[in-house]
Amino acid sequence: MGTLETVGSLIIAALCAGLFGLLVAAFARRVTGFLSDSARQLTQRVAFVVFTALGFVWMLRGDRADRFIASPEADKVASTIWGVLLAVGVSAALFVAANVLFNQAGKSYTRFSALLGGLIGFITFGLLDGNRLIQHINGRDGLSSGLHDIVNNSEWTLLLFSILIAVIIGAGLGRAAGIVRDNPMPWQYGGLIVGVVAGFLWGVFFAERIPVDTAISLLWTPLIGAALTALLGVALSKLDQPLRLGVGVLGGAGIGLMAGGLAFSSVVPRIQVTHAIIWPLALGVVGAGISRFRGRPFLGGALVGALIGWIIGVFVMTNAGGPRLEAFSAFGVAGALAGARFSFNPRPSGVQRTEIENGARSWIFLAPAMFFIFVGLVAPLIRTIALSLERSFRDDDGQRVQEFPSLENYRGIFDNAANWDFSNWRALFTSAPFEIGMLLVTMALVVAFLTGRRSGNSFGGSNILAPVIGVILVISGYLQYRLIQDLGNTEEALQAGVLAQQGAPGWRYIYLALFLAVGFGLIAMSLTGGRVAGLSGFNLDLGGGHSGALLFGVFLAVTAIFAAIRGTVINSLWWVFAVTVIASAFGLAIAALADRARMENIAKSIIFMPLAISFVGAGIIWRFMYIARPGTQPQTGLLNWTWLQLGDLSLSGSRWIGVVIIAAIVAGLAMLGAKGWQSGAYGLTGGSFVLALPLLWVIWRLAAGRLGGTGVDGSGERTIIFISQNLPYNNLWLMVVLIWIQTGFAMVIFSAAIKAVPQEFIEAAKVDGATDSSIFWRIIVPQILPTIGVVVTTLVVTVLKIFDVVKVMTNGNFETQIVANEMFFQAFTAGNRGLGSALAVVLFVAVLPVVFFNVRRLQQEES
Amino acid sequence: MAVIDAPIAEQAAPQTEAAAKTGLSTTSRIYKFLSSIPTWLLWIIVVVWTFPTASLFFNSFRGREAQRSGVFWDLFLPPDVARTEGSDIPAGWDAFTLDNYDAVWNSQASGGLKEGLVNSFAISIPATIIPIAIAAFAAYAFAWIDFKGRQGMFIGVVSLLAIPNQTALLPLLQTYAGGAHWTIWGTDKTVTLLPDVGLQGTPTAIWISHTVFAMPFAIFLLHNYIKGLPKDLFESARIDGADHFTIFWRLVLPLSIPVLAAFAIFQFLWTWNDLLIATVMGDASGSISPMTVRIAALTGEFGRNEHLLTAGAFVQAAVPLLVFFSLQRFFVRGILAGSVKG
Repeated sequence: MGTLETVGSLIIAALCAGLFGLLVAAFARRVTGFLSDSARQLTQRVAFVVFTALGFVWMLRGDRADRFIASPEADKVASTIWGVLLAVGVSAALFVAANVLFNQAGKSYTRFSALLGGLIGFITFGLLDGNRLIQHINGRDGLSSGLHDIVNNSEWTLLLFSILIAVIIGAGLGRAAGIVRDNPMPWQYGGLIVGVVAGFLWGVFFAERIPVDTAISLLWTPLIGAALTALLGVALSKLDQPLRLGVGVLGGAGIGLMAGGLAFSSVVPRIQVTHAIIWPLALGVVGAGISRFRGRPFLGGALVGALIGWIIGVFVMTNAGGPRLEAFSAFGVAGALAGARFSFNPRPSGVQRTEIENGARSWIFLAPAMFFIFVGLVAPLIRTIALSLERSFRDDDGQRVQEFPSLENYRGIFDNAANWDFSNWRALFTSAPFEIGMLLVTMALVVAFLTGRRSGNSFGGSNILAPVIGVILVISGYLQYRLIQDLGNTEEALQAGVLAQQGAPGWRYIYLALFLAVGFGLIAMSLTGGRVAGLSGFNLDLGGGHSGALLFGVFLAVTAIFAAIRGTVINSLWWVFAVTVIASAFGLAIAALADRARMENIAKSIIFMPLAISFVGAGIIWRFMYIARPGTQPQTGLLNWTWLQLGDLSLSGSRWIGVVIIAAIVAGLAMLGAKGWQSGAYGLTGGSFVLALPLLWVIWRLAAGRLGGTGVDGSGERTIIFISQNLPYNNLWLMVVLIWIQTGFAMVIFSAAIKAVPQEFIEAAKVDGATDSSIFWRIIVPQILPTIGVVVTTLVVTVLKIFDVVKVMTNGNFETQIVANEMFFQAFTAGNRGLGSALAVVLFVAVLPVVFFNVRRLQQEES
Repeated sequence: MAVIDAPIAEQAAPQTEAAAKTGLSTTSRIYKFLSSIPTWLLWIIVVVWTFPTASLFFNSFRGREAQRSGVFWDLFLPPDVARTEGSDIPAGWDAFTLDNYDAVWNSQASGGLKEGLVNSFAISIPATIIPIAIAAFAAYAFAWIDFKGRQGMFIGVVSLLAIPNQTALLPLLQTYAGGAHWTIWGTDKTVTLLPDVGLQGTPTAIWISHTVFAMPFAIFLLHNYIKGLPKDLFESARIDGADHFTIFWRLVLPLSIPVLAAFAIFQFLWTWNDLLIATVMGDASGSISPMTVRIAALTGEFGRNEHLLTAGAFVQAAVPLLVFFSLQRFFVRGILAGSVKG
C-alpha cells in the first residue's frame, strides 16, 4: 500500500471516528443532567476523545480482515493511541470515582461508608486472592496473552465498548424514569448500575475469548468481600456506642473468617502460640503507651498495637501453608481487632465529615504524582543503595553467596587505579597549561595590586587570597626545583617534560625564580599588611579585565591538574569542572555581548539551537568535525582542514603577511597598554598585555614555520587525531560537544538576568565615570550572582548525568571513561549489578550538595 | 574571558581628555577599531557555533565518495574547482544527491531508521502527555490547597530535581521484569508489593520511566507558575461556590497554557532525544527502539555506513529543531521559569 493511500485512509478513518465521537458526546451530554456543570462538560469532552480514539483504533485494529490499513506502522499508531487511552481513561475514572466518593462524606455519611467499605473490601480480597485479576489481565495465568494483546483483541474491545454504551443507555433510562417519577436520584443511580451490569454481561457473552466462568471466578472473591465490608460500613455509620463496638468487633471477625476461607493458599499462616501471644501483647503495650503520651484514650493505641503485633506474630514470623482452621482464626482475630479499633471511635460529627472531605481533596490531587514519585524514584533510590551494599560471589564450594552489607563494591571503585591514578602527579609542574596558568595568575595579581594601591578599592577576601596563592606559588616552585634536581639531565627528565618542552633547564630557573619571588612577596606583604613596603595598606583590587586573566589562569592550572592525574572518577570531575566553568563563562560573555548588539535575538537563537539537538546527534556532528585522515589525503573534518591550512600558511612565503598583521595588532595593544599605564588604568594595561601574549606566541610559531599541521617530511603525522590519540586532552575534545550544547542554556538565563539589572544602577555608574568593564565586573556580576549559582548547579547536575556523548564518541576508550558511562557499562552490559549500583550511588552523593543548595534557595524564597 | 573582556576594557579611552582634545589620534583610531570588536565577536561566535551543524547538514547531500574527498563547502564550488586531480568522483555541486536520505528511508543498511522514527513518535507523544496530566493536578494542590505537610512534601519533591536518573534505573528495570518483592528482614517471608505485569520491553515501560523522571521538574515548573496567578481570582471563585476541581479545570488550566506548553516542549525534546532510558528499557530485538538508539548503534560501525549517519542524524534532529524554532518563546520562558524564579 502506498504512502498516499495510507495517509488517505488514515484521514478517512479519523473523520469517521471523529463523527462517531461527536455523536456519543452529544448523547452523553443529554443524559448527564444530574452532574454539576463542569463535571458534565468534562464528561462530554472525555466521551468525545475516548470514543473518537476508540473508533480510530477499531478501524486500524490488528486482527480484523476488513480493517482500513494493513501495515506495521498503523498497528504501532493504534497501539500507541490505545495505551494513551487506557492511561487517560483509567486515571480519569479513578479521579472521578475518588471525587464522587469523598463528595459523599459531607452529604451522606452512610453512602460514604458503604462506598469506602466496598472499595477497601474489593482491594483487600482482591489481594488475598493472589492478584489473580491483575495476573489474568496481563496474561500471567496462561488464560490470555498479555496487556498488549488487548489492543488487537476484538473481544476485549467489544467488552469495553459494550460497558461504555450500556452505561450511557442505562443512565439515560434512569434519567427518563427519574423525570417520570419526579424523584431523579435513586433512579439514575439504579439506571447506571443496571447499565454497568448489562454491558458487562453482554460483553462477556459476546466476547468469546473470555469464558463466563473465568470472568465470574476471577471477580467473585473481591465482589463478595466488597459487599460484606460495604454492609459493615453502612451498619457502623448508623450505630452509636455501645452497640457500635459490638457490631464492629463481630462484623470484623466475620469478614476475617470469610477472608480466611477465601484466602489464596500462599498467605495462610501456620500459627505458633508463642509468637501469637508475645507480639500482640508487646506491641499492644507500646501502642497504649504512645496513645497515653499523646493524650488520647489508651485503648485505641493498644488495639492498633495488638493488631500490628498479631499481623507480625502470625503472618510474618511463621511460614505459610497452615491448615484451614488456623487460617480462619488468623484472619478472624485480625478482622475483629481492626473492627474494634475502627468502631471504638464515635460516629464523626458533621464538622469532622467536612474535614474528611476537604483533607481527602488535596490527596486526590496529589496521589497520582506522589505514587509515581515514590514507586519510581524514592523506592528505587533506596533499593539502589541496598544493591550497592550487596556482594555476590562464589565460595570455595562453588556456591553462590550473597553478603549483605558489604563495602566490597565501593572498594572496587576507590581501590581501582582505573578510577584514580595519582602516580603521574609530578608531570603537573612541568606541564604547559600549569605554567601558563600560574604566569597569568601572577600577572593578574600584580595588576590587581597596582590598581588596588591606586584606587584604594579592595577585594574583601584579599587577606586570605593573597597568602594562599603565595603559598601555592612557593610550593610549586620548590617542587619544580626538586624535580629538576632529582631528574637532572636524564631520560626520565625528558619523559617528565622537564627538558622536552624548553630544551634547556637554564630557562627554567628564571621561571622558578619568578614563581618564588612573587610567592614570597605575596606572603610577606600580606603578613605585614603591606607596611614593609611603605604602603598604607595591602589592597588587591579584583574587578576589571585582570580578573578575567586571574580566573583563566586558575582554570588552566586546574586543567593541568586533571591532565596529570588520571582515571574514570577524575575524568568525571574534570568534566564537571571544565564544562561548568567554560559553558557558564561563554554563556555570560555572549549574553553580555549580545545585550547591546543589533539583531540580538537571531544571534541568541542560533547559539541556543544546539540545545534542541540530542546528545547522540551532537556526538555525531562533532565526530565529523574531528575526523582525521592521513595528511596526504584531503581532509574532511573541519578542524583538521583548518589545522593543515595553517600549516600550509606557516610554510609558505605569505606567512610574513600574517606576521606583519598580527605584529601590528600587538603594537596597537602595546600602545593601549602604555596609555593605560600613564592614566593609571592598570586594568587596561593588564588586559592588553594578556591579550598580546597569545598573539606573540602565534607570531613566534608562524615565524619559525611551526604553526598548524606542518608535515615538512610528508609523514602521516600532520593531522591531530583528536579523540583517540591526543591523550589526555581528548577528554577536552569530548567536553567541547557538551559545552557547545550548554552554552546556549547558560546564555539564555544570563541574558534575562542581565536585562533585569536595574538600569538606574548602570546609569549612575556611568555618570560617575565607570568604564564598561568595571560596570560589568562591579555592578552586573554582583547583581546576577544568585543566577550564576543557579546556572552552575544546573550544569553540574547535567554534566554528572551525561553519558551519551562519551558513549557515542569513544565509548570510554582512550582514557575517556566517565562515571555515568561506567555505571551504564557495569550495570547493563557487564551485568555487574552491585558495582553498577555503587557507581550510581557515587553519582547520587555527588549531587547531594546541589540538592542542599536547591532546598536552601527554595526555603529562602518561601520565607 | 580575558580575551573577550579586554576590548571592553578599552572603552575607557575616549573619555580621557587627551583623546578628546587631539581629535583622532592614532591611539583613538586603534581604540575605535578595537571597541567595535565585541559586536563582531558575537557574530564570529555565531558563525563558529553554526559550523558543526551546517557541516552535517550539507554533508548529508553528498555521496560517500564526495564526503570523503573534501570539506562540506565543496558542495558550493564549481565541479572543476573542487575536483581533485586525477579523480573521477563527482565534485562540487555535481556531487549533490539525495541518495543518503533515500537509503535512510528505504534501505536496511541504516538499521531501520524509518521504523525508529515511528517509534520515536510513539514514545515521545504519550511520554509528554501523561506527565503533564499528572503533574498539573499535583502542582495545583501544592500551590493552592492548604493541607498539613505541604511545605515539607514540596521541598521533598524539589530535592529530587537534581537526582540523576541512573540512581533509579536498575530497580525500575527489575520491577518491570519481575514485579517488586520484599523479603522482610530477619524472616524468609517475601511479600509481593507489585505483581509482574509484563512491562519489560514494552513502550509502556518507557512511558512510565519518562513520566517518573519528569515528575519533580514538571511539578516544580507548573507550581511556580500556578502559584504566581493572582490570589483574588481564587478567592472570588471560592465565594461563587466553586470547588477545587472546578477552579482547577475552569481557571487554572486555561490560564496555565503557556507553562503547560513550555513543559510540553521540554518533555518532548527530552524524550525524543533520550538515549539512556530507551536503551535500558527497550526490548532485546530493538523493535521498539527510537531513532537515537538506532543511530547510536550505527556509530558502532563507523566507517561502513558513515555517509548515512549524516542524513540519519539530520532526520533525527529535524523534528526537535522544528519544534524548537516554531515554539522558541515558550521554550525560553520555560527555561527561565524553571531555573531563575525557583
